[in-house]
Amino acid sequence: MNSQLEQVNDAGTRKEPGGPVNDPLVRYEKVTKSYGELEVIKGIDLTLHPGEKLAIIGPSGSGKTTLGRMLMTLERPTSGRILVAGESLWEMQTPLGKMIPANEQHLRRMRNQIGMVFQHFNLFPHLKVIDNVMLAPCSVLKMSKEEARERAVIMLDKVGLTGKLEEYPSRLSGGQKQRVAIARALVMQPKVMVFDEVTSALDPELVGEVLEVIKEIAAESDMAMMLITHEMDFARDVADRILFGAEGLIVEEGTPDFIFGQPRSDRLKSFLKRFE
Amino acid sequence: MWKWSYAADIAPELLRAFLMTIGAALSGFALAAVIGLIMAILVRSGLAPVRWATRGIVEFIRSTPLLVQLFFLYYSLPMLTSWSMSAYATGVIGLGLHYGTYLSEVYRSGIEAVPKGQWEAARALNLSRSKTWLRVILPQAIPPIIPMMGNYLIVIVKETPTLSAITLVEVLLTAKNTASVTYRVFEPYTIAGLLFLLASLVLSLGVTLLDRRLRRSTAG
Repeated sequence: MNSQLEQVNDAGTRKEPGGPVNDPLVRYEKVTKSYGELEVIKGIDLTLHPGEKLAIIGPSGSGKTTLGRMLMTLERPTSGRILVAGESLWEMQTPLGKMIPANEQHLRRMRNQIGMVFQHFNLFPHLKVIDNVMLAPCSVLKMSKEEARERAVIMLDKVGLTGKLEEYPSRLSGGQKQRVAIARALVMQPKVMVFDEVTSALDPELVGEVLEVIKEIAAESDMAMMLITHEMDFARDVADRILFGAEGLIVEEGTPDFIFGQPRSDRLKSFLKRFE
Repeated sequence: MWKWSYAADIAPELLRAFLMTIGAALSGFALAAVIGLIMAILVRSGLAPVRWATRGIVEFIRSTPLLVQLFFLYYSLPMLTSWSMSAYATGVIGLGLHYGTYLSEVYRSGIEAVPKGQWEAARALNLSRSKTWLRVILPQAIPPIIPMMGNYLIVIVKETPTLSAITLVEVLLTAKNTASVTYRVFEPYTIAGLLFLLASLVLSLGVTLLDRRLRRSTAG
């Protein structure tokens, strides 16, 4: 299975141990988000480097899902900006150098680099599994059907669903659906992928198979990952760095050893107590 | 009372006229289905003026009777512009515009029933707006509304006698003309009524079968 993923990625770019040391791929600068009166994100600065696996943990309502959604251009920051590969996501430059709100063309160009897997899968119910995975490569990347199918088959094999290519999503278990969703997002080869609480909607016995798939991807791929999760063991295993957010702010940040081993703030300590 | 020989005499002409009725109804419905879909998509446009203009047109057309709109299209429009069309063409366009607005509401309910997550998944995969509509949204929005669309087809069939007011020689007008010649009213109008009944039943059955077939193929 491993060698097939290498074929799909650009040649020779396996993750280096010790973490990448490059300019940030993603940067949030003083990002806030309010829904009317309700301030969900109160001012967040965040960086994500190429190939870095960043886990975001925290209580419900801390705004962590919103952080991921803003990167995927599903929500727009109320203030502040988000930069991907140095370019602002929600603003673009006119020929005269002025910054104006981004148009759809700019957003689509930025979205080329970003992928997302959702808590509730969001598979296309009217398409078979293989067609779910092939749709975007054909439609957006303008691949031929044969090439798209080849990639889709490889990716679905990677997530362990080779026998389910011709099934409709309604016939799959939650864990299988989520694995299809992962394959569907991966086949577009984004530079950064948001995993938004991807196991929170699954029955407990199905969670493991999905986490295993993500661990494999994390180990072999040089894609940056934003893992919004409640699964603490998983975060500790996979993440290079962890952010702990609460009430719309980042409270603590550090490597898994620090976050879990030496939490400093009371907020984080009481949060972690729940998982013992 | 009822004379079978007379009924048999006039039946062919009424049947011919009824074909005109069905033709106008089907064409009108087809046009309404297209116009309705365009309106349903435009009313969700990102551009506010487009949304307002569409909503305004829909409200305006729905607030005036079909008959008045037909009179305008057939009599007034040729006076204001150099446009003039046959009664058939005018009838089809009138039906298409008028019922297009109602079908746009039917489409809207189908579109709004598609879960928001589908739009988000399409966006996450960077599908263009048109591809999102064509490959993700409409294939999910339309099958559930087919029965409602079928009902409107039946409504349109029954509305075609209105077109007689702009001189379209459909089955009701033909029945009237026949009756005025011979003073026998029972047979022409009964036959016309039976033809409508037959059409409604056949269409109802067709819609039920289509609905069942669509449910099976998308059930997955």
